[in-house]
Amino acid sequence: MPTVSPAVSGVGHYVPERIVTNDELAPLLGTTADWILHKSGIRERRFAAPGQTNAHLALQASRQALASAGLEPDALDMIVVATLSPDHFFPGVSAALQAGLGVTRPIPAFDLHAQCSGFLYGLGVAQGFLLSGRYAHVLLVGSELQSTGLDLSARGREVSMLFGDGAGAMVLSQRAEGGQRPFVVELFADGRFARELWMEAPGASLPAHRLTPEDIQSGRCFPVMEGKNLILHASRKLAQAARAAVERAGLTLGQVDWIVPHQANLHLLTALERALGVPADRVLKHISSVGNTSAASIPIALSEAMASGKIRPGHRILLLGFGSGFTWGGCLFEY
Amino acid sequence: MDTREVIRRYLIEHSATPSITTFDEELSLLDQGVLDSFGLVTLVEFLEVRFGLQVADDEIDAVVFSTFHRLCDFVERKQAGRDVTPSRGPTG
Repeated sequence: MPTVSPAVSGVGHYVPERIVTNDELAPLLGTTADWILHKSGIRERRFAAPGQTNAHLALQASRQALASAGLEPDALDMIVVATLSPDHFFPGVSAALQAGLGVTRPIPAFDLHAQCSGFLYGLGVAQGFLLSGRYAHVLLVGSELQSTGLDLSARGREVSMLFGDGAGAMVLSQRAEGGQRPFVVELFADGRFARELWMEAPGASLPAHRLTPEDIQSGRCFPVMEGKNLILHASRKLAQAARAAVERAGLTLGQVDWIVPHQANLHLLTALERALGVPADRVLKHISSVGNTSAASIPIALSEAMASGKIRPGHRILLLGFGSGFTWGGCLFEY
Repeated sequence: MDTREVIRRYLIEHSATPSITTFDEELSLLDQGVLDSFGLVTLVEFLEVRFGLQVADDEIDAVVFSTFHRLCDFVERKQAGRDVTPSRGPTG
Protein backbone atom coordinates (compact mmCIF):
# COMPACT_ATOMS: atom_id res chain seq x y z
CA MET A 1 0.00 0.00 0.00
CA PRO A 2 1.54 3.33 -1.04
CA THR A 3 2.11 5.97 1.61
CA VAL A 4 0.03 9.11 1.36
CA SER A 5 1.36 12.63 1.12
CA PRO A 6 -0.53 15.95 0.92
CA ALA A 7 -0.74 17.79 -2.37
CA VAL A 8 -2.09 21.16 -3.44
CA SER A 9 -4.92 20.34 -5.81
CA GLY A 10 -6.50 23.78 -6.20
CA VAL A 11 -6.12 27.44 -5.24
CA GLY A 12 -8.22 30.58 -5.47
CA HIS A 13 -8.40 34.10 -4.13
CA TYR A 14 -10.70 37.05 -3.88
CA VAL A 15 -10.12 40.69 -3.02
CA PRO A 16 -12.95 43.22 -2.75
CA GLU A 17 -13.49 45.57 -5.66
CA ARG A 18 -13.01 48.78 -3.73
CA ILE A 19 -9.45 50.09 -4.08
CA VAL A 20 -8.28 52.42 -1.32
CA THR A 21 -5.23 54.35 -2.45
CA ASN A 22 -2.69 56.07 -0.23
CA ASP A 23 -4.07 59.36 -1.52
CA GLU A 24 -7.48 58.47 -0.08
CA LEU A 25 -6.17 57.08 3.19
CA ALA A 26 -3.46 59.62 4.00
CA PRO A 27 -5.71 62.57 4.99
CA LEU A 28 -7.64 60.34 7.40
CA LEU A 29 -4.39 59.23 9.00
CA GLY A 30 -2.97 62.74 9.14
CA THR A 31 -0.08 61.96 6.85
CA THR A 32 0.89 61.87 3.18
CA ALA A 33 0.66 59.19 0.52
CA ASP A 34 4.45 59.27 0.14
CA TRP A 35 4.93 58.67 3.87
CA ILE A 36 2.77 55.53 3.68
CA LEU A 37 4.64 54.30 0.61
CA HIS A 38 8.03 55.01 2.18
CA LYS A 39 7.15 53.30 5.47
CA SER A 40 5.45 50.24 4.04
CA GLY A 41 5.90 49.84 0.29
CA ILE A 42 2.09 49.85 -0.02
CA ARG A 43 0.41 51.91 -2.75
CA GLU A 44 -3.16 50.69 -2.32
CA ARG A 45 -5.24 48.07 -0.53
CA ARG A 46 -8.79 46.70 -0.87
CA PHE A 47 -11.62 47.40 1.56
CA ALA A 48 -14.81 45.34 1.62
CA ALA A 49 -18.08 47.01 0.68
CA PRO A 50 -20.52 47.84 3.49
CA GLY A 51 -22.38 44.66 4.37
CA GLN A 52 -19.78 42.37 2.84
CA THR A 53 -18.70 39.81 5.45
CA ASN A 54 -15.54 37.85 6.06
CA ALA A 55 -17.48 34.71 5.13
CA HIS A 56 -18.42 36.30 1.81
CA LEU A 57 -14.75 36.88 0.96
CA ALA A 58 -13.91 33.32 2.03
CA LEU A 59 -16.75 31.95 -0.10
CA GLN A 60 -15.55 33.64 -3.30
CA ALA A 61 -11.99 32.38 -2.83
CA SER A 62 -13.20 28.88 -1.90
CA ARG A 63 -15.41 28.52 -4.98
CA GLN A 64 -12.43 29.42 -7.14
CA ALA A 65 -10.20 26.91 -5.34
CA LEU A 66 -12.79 24.13 -5.71
CA ALA A 67 -13.17 24.90 -9.44
CA SER A 68 -9.40 24.85 -9.81
CA ALA A 69 -9.28 21.45 -8.07
CA GLY A 70 -12.15 20.14 -10.17
CA LEU A 71 -14.16 19.26 -7.06
CA GLU A 72 -17.75 19.80 -5.97
CA PRO A 73 -18.28 21.16 -2.41
CA ASP A 74 -19.58 17.79 -1.24
CA ALA A 75 -16.26 16.17 -2.13
CA LEU A 76 -14.68 18.05 0.78
CA ASP A 77 -13.94 16.21 4.02
CA MET A 78 -13.02 19.22 6.15
CA ILE A 79 -13.06 23.02 6.15
CA VAL A 80 -10.50 25.09 8.06
CA VAL A 81 -10.58 28.89 8.09
CA ALA A 82 -7.62 30.86 9.39
CA THR A 83 -8.62 34.37 10.41
CA LEU A 84 -7.99 37.05 13.01
CA SER A 85 -11.04 39.05 11.93
CA PRO A 86 -14.02 36.68 12.26
CA ASP A 87 -17.48 38.04 11.63
CA HIS A 88 -18.51 37.01 15.17
CA PHE A 89 -16.96 35.68 18.39
CA PHE A 90 -18.83 32.50 17.55
CA PRO A 91 -19.59 30.54 15.51
CA GLY A 92 -16.62 30.78 13.22
CA VAL A 93 -16.43 31.96 9.63
CA SER A 94 -16.11 28.27 8.75
CA ALA A 95 -19.76 27.66 9.70
CA ALA A 96 -21.06 30.33 7.33
CA LEU A 97 -18.65 29.15 4.67
CA GLN A 98 -19.82 25.55 4.92
CA ALA A 99 -23.41 26.67 4.54
CA GLY A 100 -22.54 29.13 1.78
CA LEU A 101 -20.79 26.47 -0.24
CA GLY A 102 -23.85 24.26 0.07
CA VAL A 103 -22.00 21.37 1.65
CA THR A 104 -24.68 18.87 2.59
CA ARG A 105 -22.50 16.38 4.48
CA PRO A 106 -21.77 17.12 8.17
CA ILE A 107 -18.03 17.41 7.64
CA PRO A 108 -15.92 19.07 10.33
CA ALA A 109 -15.52 22.83 9.89
CA PHE A 110 -13.67 25.13 12.26
CA ASP A 111 -11.74 28.39 12.56
CA LEU A 112 -8.09 28.54 13.43
CA HIS A 113 -6.71 31.50 15.35
CA ALA A 114 -3.00 31.97 14.76
CA GLN A 115 -3.11 35.52 13.36
CA CYS A 116 -0.86 36.23 10.37
CA SER A 117 0.66 32.74 10.67
CA GLY A 118 -2.82 31.20 10.52
CA PHE A 119 -2.49 29.83 7.02
CA LEU A 120 0.81 28.13 7.90
CA TYR A 121 -0.78 26.62 11.01
CA GLY A 122 -3.71 25.53 8.84
CA LEU A 123 -1.32 23.73 6.52
CA GLY A 124 0.06 21.84 9.51
CA VAL A 125 -3.45 20.90 10.61
CA ALA A 126 -4.52 19.88 7.10
CA GLN A 127 -1.38 17.81 6.65
CA GLY A 128 -2.07 15.93 9.87
CA PHE A 129 -5.63 15.07 8.93
CA LEU A 130 -4.68 14.05 5.38
CA LEU A 131 -1.88 11.84 6.66
CA SER A 132 -4.33 10.17 9.03
CA GLY A 133 -5.87 8.63 5.94
CA ARG A 134 -9.44 9.46 6.98
CA TYR A 135 -9.69 12.70 5.05
CA ALA A 136 -9.09 12.96 1.30
CA HIS A 137 -9.75 16.65 0.62
CA VAL A 138 -9.33 19.59 3.02
CA LEU A 139 -10.34 23.15 2.15
CA LEU A 140 -8.03 25.63 3.87
CA VAL A 141 -8.90 29.33 3.69
CA GLY A 142 -7.11 32.43 4.93
CA SER A 143 -9.70 35.20 5.06
CA GLU A 144 -9.64 38.66 6.59
CA LEU A 145 -12.07 41.55 6.91
CA GLN A 146 -9.85 44.05 8.68
CA SER A 147 -11.05 47.39 7.35
CA THR A 148 -13.96 47.59 9.79
CA GLY A 149 -11.59 47.35 12.77
CA LEU A 150 -8.96 49.96 11.95
CA ASP A 151 -8.32 53.22 13.75
CA LEU A 152 -8.58 55.54 10.77
CA SER A 153 -7.14 58.54 12.56
CA ALA A 154 -3.66 59.98 13.12
CA ARG A 155 -3.43 57.91 16.33
CA GLY A 156 -3.68 54.67 14.38
CA ARG A 157 -1.66 55.52 11.31
CA GLU A 158 1.27 53.12 11.91
CA VAL A 159 -1.10 50.15 11.89
CA SER A 160 -4.00 51.31 9.77
CA MET A 161 -1.87 52.18 6.75
CA LEU A 162 -0.93 48.51 6.43
CA PHE A 163 -4.05 46.42 6.42
CA GLY A 164 -6.51 45.39 3.75
CA ASP A 165 -9.25 42.83 3.14
CA GLY A 166 -9.12 39.65 1.09
CA ALA A 167 -9.20 35.87 1.07
CA GLY A 168 -7.12 33.05 -0.35
CA ALA A 169 -8.10 29.39 -0.46
CA MET A 170 -6.40 26.09 -1.11
CA VAL A 171 -7.69 22.55 -1.54
CA LEU A 172 -5.25 20.00 -0.16
CA SER A 173 -5.71 16.40 -1.19
CA GLN A 174 -4.14 13.04 -0.55
CA ARG A 175 -1.59 12.02 -3.12
CA ALA A 176 -0.60 8.37 -3.26
CA GLU A 177 2.97 8.84 -4.38
CA GLY A 178 4.73 7.80 -1.26
CA GLY A 179 6.75 10.83 -0.17
CA GLN A 180 8.40 11.37 -3.53
CA ARG A 181 7.66 15.06 -3.32
CA PRO A 182 8.37 17.12 -0.22
CA PHE A 183 5.61 18.58 1.93
CA VAL A 184 6.95 19.69 5.28
CA VAL A 185 5.53 22.14 7.80
CA GLU A 186 7.50 23.71 10.64
CA LEU A 187 5.57 25.74 13.23
CA PHE A 188 6.75 27.90 16.13
CA ALA A 189 5.36 30.23 18.79
CA ASP A 190 6.66 32.34 21.68
CA GLY A 191 3.86 33.72 23.85
CA ARG A 192 6.17 36.02 25.82
CA PHE A 193 5.71 38.51 23.01
CA ALA A 194 1.92 38.39 22.89
CA ARG A 195 1.50 42.10 23.48
CA GLU A 196 3.96 43.27 20.88
CA LEU A 197 1.08 43.03 18.39
CA TRP A 198 -2.38 42.65 19.79
CA MET A 199 -5.89 43.95 20.16
CA GLU A 200 -7.12 44.16 23.74
CA ALA A 201 -10.85 44.68 23.26
CA PRO A 202 -13.41 43.31 22.86
CA GLY A 203 -12.46 40.33 24.93
CA ALA A 204 -14.00 37.94 27.41
CA SER A 205 -11.45 38.96 30.05
CA LEU A 206 -12.89 42.47 30.11
CA PRO A 207 -15.72 43.32 32.47
CA ALA A 208 -18.87 45.19 31.49
CA HIS A 209 -20.01 43.55 28.31
CA ARG A 210 -16.52 43.07 26.89
CA LEU A 211 -16.53 46.43 25.11
CA THR A 212 -17.26 49.85 26.56
CA PRO A 213 -17.40 53.34 25.06
CA GLU A 214 -14.15 53.97 26.93
CA ASP A 215 -12.50 51.04 25.12
CA ILE A 216 -13.40 52.70 21.85
CA GLN A 217 -12.36 56.17 22.95
CA SER A 218 -9.00 55.02 24.28
CA GLY A 219 -8.28 52.91 21.21
CA ARG A 220 -8.15 49.59 23.10
CA CYS A 221 -10.49 48.15 20.48
CA PHE A 222 -7.93 48.69 17.72
CA PRO A 223 -4.84 46.64 16.86
CA VAL A 224 -1.59 48.07 18.19
CA MET A 225 1.99 47.03 17.58
CA GLU A 226 5.53 47.80 18.57
CA GLY A 227 6.51 48.11 14.93
CA LYS A 228 10.21 48.73 15.37
CA ASN A 229 10.62 45.61 17.45
CA LEU A 230 8.44 43.59 15.13
CA ILE A 231 10.58 43.89 12.03
CA LEU A 232 13.62 42.69 13.99
CA HIS A 233 11.76 39.71 15.39
CA ALA A 234 10.00 38.93 12.13
CA SER A 235 13.05 39.00 9.89
CA ARG A 236 14.96 36.67 12.21
CA LYS A 237 12.09 34.27 12.79
CA LEU A 238 11.08 34.06 9.14
CA ALA A 239 14.67 33.19 8.31
CA GLN A 240 14.67 30.57 11.08
CA ALA A 241 11.48 29.02 9.72
CA ALA A 242 12.91 28.99 6.20
CA ARG A 243 16.04 27.18 7.28
CA ALA A 244 14.08 24.71 9.42
CA ALA A 245 11.73 23.82 6.56
CA VAL A 246 14.40 23.34 3.89
CA GLU A 247 16.57 21.35 6.28
CA ARG A 248 13.70 19.05 7.20
CA ALA A 249 12.92 18.54 3.52
CA GLY A 250 16.55 17.60 2.93
CA LEU A 251 16.98 20.49 0.50
CA THR A 252 18.83 23.78 0.31
CA LEU A 253 17.45 27.27 -0.28
CA GLY A 254 19.08 27.15 -3.71
CA GLN A 255 16.76 24.29 -4.62
CA VAL A 256 13.63 26.33 -3.85
CA ASP A 257 12.02 28.00 -6.86
CA TRP A 258 9.79 30.50 -5.06
CA ILE A 259 9.61 31.95 -1.59
CA VAL A 260 6.17 33.24 -0.61
CA PRO A 261 6.40 35.15 2.68
CA HIS A 262 3.59 36.75 4.61
CA GLN A 263 3.22 40.21 3.08
CA ALA A 264 3.58 42.35 6.20
CA ASN A 265 5.71 45.23 5.00
CA LEU A 266 8.01 45.63 1.98
CA HIS A 267 10.95 46.47 4.25
CA LEU A 268 10.50 43.16 6.02
CA LEU A 269 10.54 41.29 2.72
CA THR A 270 13.77 43.07 1.76
CA ALA A 271 15.29 42.24 5.14
CA LEU A 272 14.29 38.61 4.68
CA GLU A 273 15.94 38.44 1.25
CA ARG A 274 19.15 39.73 2.81
CA ALA A 275 18.95 37.38 5.78
CA LEU A 276 18.45 34.35 3.52
CA GLY A 277 20.83 35.53 0.80
CA VAL A 278 18.27 34.86 -1.92
CA PRO A 279 17.68 36.97 -5.04
CA ALA A 280 14.78 39.40 -4.84
CA ASP A 281 13.16 37.96 -7.96
CA ARG A 282 12.59 34.61 -6.22
CA VAL A 283 10.50 36.21 -3.47
CA LEU A 284 6.87 36.87 -4.37
CA LYS A 285 5.61 40.32 -3.41
CA HIS A 286 2.13 41.71 -3.85
CA ILE A 287 1.94 44.00 -0.85
CA SER A 288 2.04 47.19 -2.94
CA SER A 289 -1.36 46.42 -4.47
CA VAL A 290 -3.34 44.72 -1.66
CA GLY A 291 -1.54 45.69 1.54
CA ASN A 292 -1.17 43.34 4.49
CA THR A 293 -4.06 40.87 4.44
CA SER A 294 -2.82 38.90 7.49
CA ALA A 295 -3.78 35.21 7.25
CA ALA A 296 -4.89 35.71 3.65
CA SER A 297 -1.67 37.18 2.30
CA ILE A 298 0.17 33.92 1.59
CA PRO A 299 -2.67 32.12 -0.23
CA ILE A 300 -3.53 35.27 -2.22
CA ALA A 301 0.09 35.63 -3.38
CA LEU A 302 0.25 31.93 -4.17
CA SER A 303 -3.02 31.92 -6.08
CA GLU A 304 -2.06 35.00 -8.11
CA ALA A 305 1.29 33.48 -9.03
CA MET A 306 -0.25 30.14 -9.99
CA ALA A 307 -2.95 31.85 -12.07
CA SER A 308 -0.38 33.92 -13.93
CA GLY A 309 1.76 30.87 -14.68
CA LYS A 310 4.68 32.17 -12.64
CA ILE A 311 4.42 29.14 -10.37
CA ARG A 312 4.17 25.93 -12.40
CA PRO A 313 3.81 22.24 -11.57
CA GLY A 314 7.08 20.83 -10.35
CA HIS A 315 8.20 24.06 -8.70
CA ARG A 316 9.32 23.92 -5.10
CA ILE A 317 7.60 26.55 -3.00
CA LEU A 318 8.57 27.82 0.44
CA LEU A 319 5.79 29.58 2.35
CA LEU A 320 6.79 31.66 5.39
CA GLY A 321 4.53 33.24 7.99
CA PHE A 322 4.99 35.42 11.05
CA GLY A 323 2.40 37.08 13.22
CA SER A 324 1.00 38.08 16.56
CA GLY A 325 1.64 35.69 19.39
CA PHE A 326 4.39 35.55 18.26
CA THR A 327 3.61 32.74 15.88
CA TRP A 328 5.67 31.80 12.88
CA GLY A 329 6.36 28.93 10.54
CA GLY A 330 7.36 27.62 7.17
CA CYS A 331 6.01 25.11 4.67
CA LEU A 332 7.97 23.65 1.80
CA PHE A 333 6.15 21.72 -0.88
CA GLU A 334 6.38 20.79 -4.51
CA TYR A 335 3.50 21.96 -6.64
CA MET B 1 39.13 52.49 16.62
CA ASP B 2 37.01 52.11 19.75
CA THR B 3 33.55 50.60 19.81
CA ARG B 4 31.73 53.92 19.88
CA GLU B 5 33.64 55.27 16.91
CA VAL B 6 32.98 52.09 14.90
CA ILE B 7 29.26 52.37 15.57
CA ARG B 8 29.21 56.12 14.87
CA ARG B 9 30.89 55.62 11.48
CA TYR B 10 28.57 52.74 10.59
CA LEU B 11 25.49 54.81 11.40
CA ILE B 12 26.63 57.75 9.28
CA GLU B 13 27.76 55.59 6.36
CA HIS B 14 24.48 53.63 6.39
CA SER B 15 22.16 56.43 7.40
CA ALA B 16 18.58 56.23 6.14
CA THR B 17 19.00 59.91 5.22
CA PRO B 18 22.03 60.14 2.92
CA SER B 19 22.64 63.83 3.67
CA ILE B 20 23.25 63.17 7.37
CA THR B 21 26.86 63.68 8.42
CA THR B 22 26.31 64.00 12.15
CA PHE B 23 23.59 63.33 14.72
CA ASP B 24 22.66 64.11 18.30
CA GLU B 25 23.84 61.29 20.54
CA GLU B 26 21.05 61.80 23.06
CA LEU B 27 18.12 61.90 20.64
CA SER B 28 16.31 59.09 18.88
CA LEU B 29 18.19 57.75 15.87
CA LEU B 30 14.86 56.95 14.26
CA ASP B 31 13.46 60.44 14.79
CA GLN B 32 16.62 61.98 13.37
CA GLY B 33 16.36 59.88 10.23
CA VAL B 34 19.61 58.03 10.94
CA LEU B 35 17.78 54.71 11.17
CA ASP B 36 14.57 53.39 9.69
CA SER B 37 12.96 50.01 10.34
CA PHE B 38 15.05 48.28 7.68
CA GLY B 39 18.14 50.03 9.03
CA LEU B 40 17.46 48.53 12.45
CA VAL B 41 17.60 45.04 10.98
CA THR B 42 20.88 45.65 9.17
CA LEU B 43 22.31 47.42 12.25
CA VAL B 44 21.71 44.34 14.39
CA GLU B 45 23.31 42.14 11.72
CA PHE B 46 26.31 44.49 11.67
CA LEU B 47 26.71 44.48 15.46
CA GLU B 48 26.55 40.70 15.59
CA VAL B 49 29.20 40.27 12.90
CA ARG B 50 31.51 43.17 13.77
CA PHE B 51 31.59 42.60 17.52
CA GLY B 52 30.94 38.86 17.59
CA LEU B 53 27.73 39.33 19.57
CA GLN B 54 24.60 37.25 19.66
CA VAL B 55 21.54 39.43 20.18
CA ALA B 56 18.91 37.17 21.74
CA ASP B 57 15.17 37.52 21.20
CA ASP B 58 14.76 38.87 24.73
CA GLU B 59 17.25 41.63 23.99
CA ILE B 60 15.42 42.96 20.98
CA ASP B 61 13.96 46.11 22.33
CA ALA B 62 13.80 49.19 20.19
CA VAL B 63 14.38 51.29 23.29
CA VAL B 64 17.89 49.88 23.51
CA PHE B 65 18.55 51.10 20.01
CA SER B 66 16.75 54.40 20.39
CA THR B 67 19.77 56.65 20.90
CA PHE B 68 23.46 56.40 20.11
CA HIS B 69 24.34 56.32 23.80
CA ARG B 70 21.87 53.54 24.61
CA LEU B 71 23.08 51.57 21.64
CA CYS B 72 26.73 51.87 22.65
CA ASP B 73 25.91 50.99 26.25
CA PHE B 74 24.14 47.89 25.01
CA VAL B 75 27.11 46.77 22.92
CA GLU B 76 29.64 47.51 25.66
CA ARG B 77 27.62 45.61 28.25
CA LYS B 78 27.31 42.68 25.84
CA GLN B 79 31.05 42.76 25.28
CA ALA B 80 31.61 42.77 29.03
CA GLY B 81 29.23 39.83 29.41
CA ARG B 82 26.69 41.71 31.51
CA ASP B 83 22.95 41.13 31.40
CA VAL B 84 21.18 43.42 28.93
CA THR B 85 17.75 41.76 28.90
CA PRO B 86 14.96 44.31 29.18
CA SER B 87 12.43 43.61 31.92
CA ARG B 88 9.38 41.91 30.45
CA GLY B 89 6.18 40.69 32.05
CA PRO B 90 4.72 37.28 31.36
CA THR B 91 3.01 38.45 28.20
CA GLY B 92 5.20 41.32 27.16
